[in-house]
Amino acid sequence: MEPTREALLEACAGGDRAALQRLYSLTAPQLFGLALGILRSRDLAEDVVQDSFLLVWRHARSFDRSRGTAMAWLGRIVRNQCFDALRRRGREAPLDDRLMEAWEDPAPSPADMAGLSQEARRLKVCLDELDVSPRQSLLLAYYQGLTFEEVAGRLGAPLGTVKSWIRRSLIRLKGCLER
Amino acid sequence: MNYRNPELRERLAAEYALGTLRGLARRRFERLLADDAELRRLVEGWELRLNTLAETAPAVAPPARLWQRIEQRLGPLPTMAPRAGLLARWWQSIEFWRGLGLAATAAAAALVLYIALAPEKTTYVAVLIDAKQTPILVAKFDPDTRRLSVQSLQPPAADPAHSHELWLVAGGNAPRSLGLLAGAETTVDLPPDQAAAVATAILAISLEPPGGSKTGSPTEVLFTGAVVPDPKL
Repeated sequence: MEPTREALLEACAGGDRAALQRLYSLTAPQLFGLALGILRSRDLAEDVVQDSFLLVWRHARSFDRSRGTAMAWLGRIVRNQCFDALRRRGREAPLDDRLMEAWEDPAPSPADMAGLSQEARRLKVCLDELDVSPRQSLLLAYYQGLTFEEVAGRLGAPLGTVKSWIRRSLIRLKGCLER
Repeated sequence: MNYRNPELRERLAAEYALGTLRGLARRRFERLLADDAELRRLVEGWELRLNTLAETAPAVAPPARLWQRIEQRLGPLPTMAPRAGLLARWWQSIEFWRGLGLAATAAAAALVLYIALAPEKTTYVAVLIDAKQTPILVAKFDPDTRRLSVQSLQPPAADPAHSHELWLVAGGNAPRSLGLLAGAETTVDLPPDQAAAVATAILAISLEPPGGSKTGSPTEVLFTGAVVPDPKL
């Protein structure tokens, strides 16, 4: 039937350039948004998405759909590229807060909800089980690439509290997903 | 630190994947990863788990030039097949045309012909898909005339109890209504500001009460598709 993102990735592994373009058109806005949230620079985010799709093309064969969704596999590449880019610039802290309004509430927009995978819906249920501040801390760390210190500053909470919120959230999340 | 402690290994793997492990601690952990396959598996598990969140990242349309840059870096296609051969390959590789009804296949054939015969100027297309990733409509946009046309790949079912509304989602802004769909093909002439945004936007179609959304926002999004430069294969 119609190709899922997973099927498109598998077609990329077979050298199908049209599948890569289709995968790009399906996933690039989300991945660009993800990179922009962490890097806060359109130029850097463009570079990261470009490099990521070159990696996708080269490493598509290592995608294994039994281990996770295509989007998780793609997000993993993009986020790791973001952290590498931050490190190459010799700084680990984000640049500025001008671009950040859209990321204050990382709830999915209506346009994004239509295509959510079963795994993403499941994760959302597990996130909803967390208390508000721990969940917010985890999402700030994920979507904006914030450190413990930066999350603490943003939420006006003590550093030790934020650390234990995030650490406990990770443990609870894993438990919930394995239920 | 005792890196054999299973709880510590789990915690560091999770924090590495989340990105909160930074600086020296991150580099030290990467050295451990280099010769600890089991630790790498733990990290991979966490990365795939957490990056499921990528699906709900705020969508921001990248500039059209980004795909062109990627294509340039990929280099020429390995087989320099003649034009007809390329078309045939494209036909085979895009499996989504399969499984559609006869009428839709004709529409797809028309689209392929349109793409093949269109003159060499940049126009844009979007394939709008449903939650199961089935293509439902194709949108075409010509920046010269600023005309956006949206065509159903399958005959729309008559449904007087609802309207379908077309939305433009651009640059992290709230969706803007482009009007209601009328039958199997709808054309909209966009004002200049919306025309400028459409090339890198997402189009969405929502299910609405008759006459369209009462709130100014989409009620239930049914189909979405990113606008991309027409591949003109």
